[in-house]
Amino acid sequence: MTQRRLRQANLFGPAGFVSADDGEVIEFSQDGFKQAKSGSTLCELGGTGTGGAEHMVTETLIRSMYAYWRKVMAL
Amino acid sequence: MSFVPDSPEAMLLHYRINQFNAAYADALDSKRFDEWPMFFTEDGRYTLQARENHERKLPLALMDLESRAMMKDRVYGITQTIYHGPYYTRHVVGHATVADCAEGVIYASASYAIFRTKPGGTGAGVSEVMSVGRYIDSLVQTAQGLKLQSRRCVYDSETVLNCVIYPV
Repeated sequence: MTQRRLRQANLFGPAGFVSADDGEVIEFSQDGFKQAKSGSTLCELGGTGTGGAEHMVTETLIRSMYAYWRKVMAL
Repeated sequence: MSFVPDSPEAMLLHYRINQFNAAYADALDSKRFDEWPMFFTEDGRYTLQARENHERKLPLALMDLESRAMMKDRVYGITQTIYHGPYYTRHVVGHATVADCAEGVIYASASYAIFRTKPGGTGAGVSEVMSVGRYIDSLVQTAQGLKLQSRRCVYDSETVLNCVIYPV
């Protein structure tokens, strides 16, 4: 089991096969946010809607998940 | 093969390992990543681990690759799939120290310092110290020359500069 976990650990962390690019993208985003001197930035990736998209450059999946959650919770 | 310090054989061995380390560094610094797995035997192991874990004999590592095939996979990730800001590395590898030779395996180590330069980025191309540590190696002589049976890169640096994309 330890061996299995160590193999999986190659996927995560700063050198991770799947997570290293998340860290890189967050760094790019932070570099962009720094331009706002007010200290706060709101980034609406792909707008505010919950429709489908032909690409992955959107947070529509997350917004849709919360839209559904609000519906289920009757909010 | 026995190891007699200061013998001509020992000097030759040090020379060969230093040449090997220079070629390894050159391949990485020149971004010839496809060559990188070939510095290892087929079942070679590559580990990039914090000194803290190494000294406590804890197994968790940033990278722990158990074969040349896993290394090729990593190279595919570096060149094709991992989205990242490109950077140059510059390896400065110290003189190799041979600890022992036993049953055809050479146990050696060498200090390294790696500088990172991100061209044209927000850092304005300033070179930074990326990682400082030690290669702890087991090498074997093959028909294709020296190959790493194991390279454990133990880094002193307690902070990773966000990400490690390319091998150390």
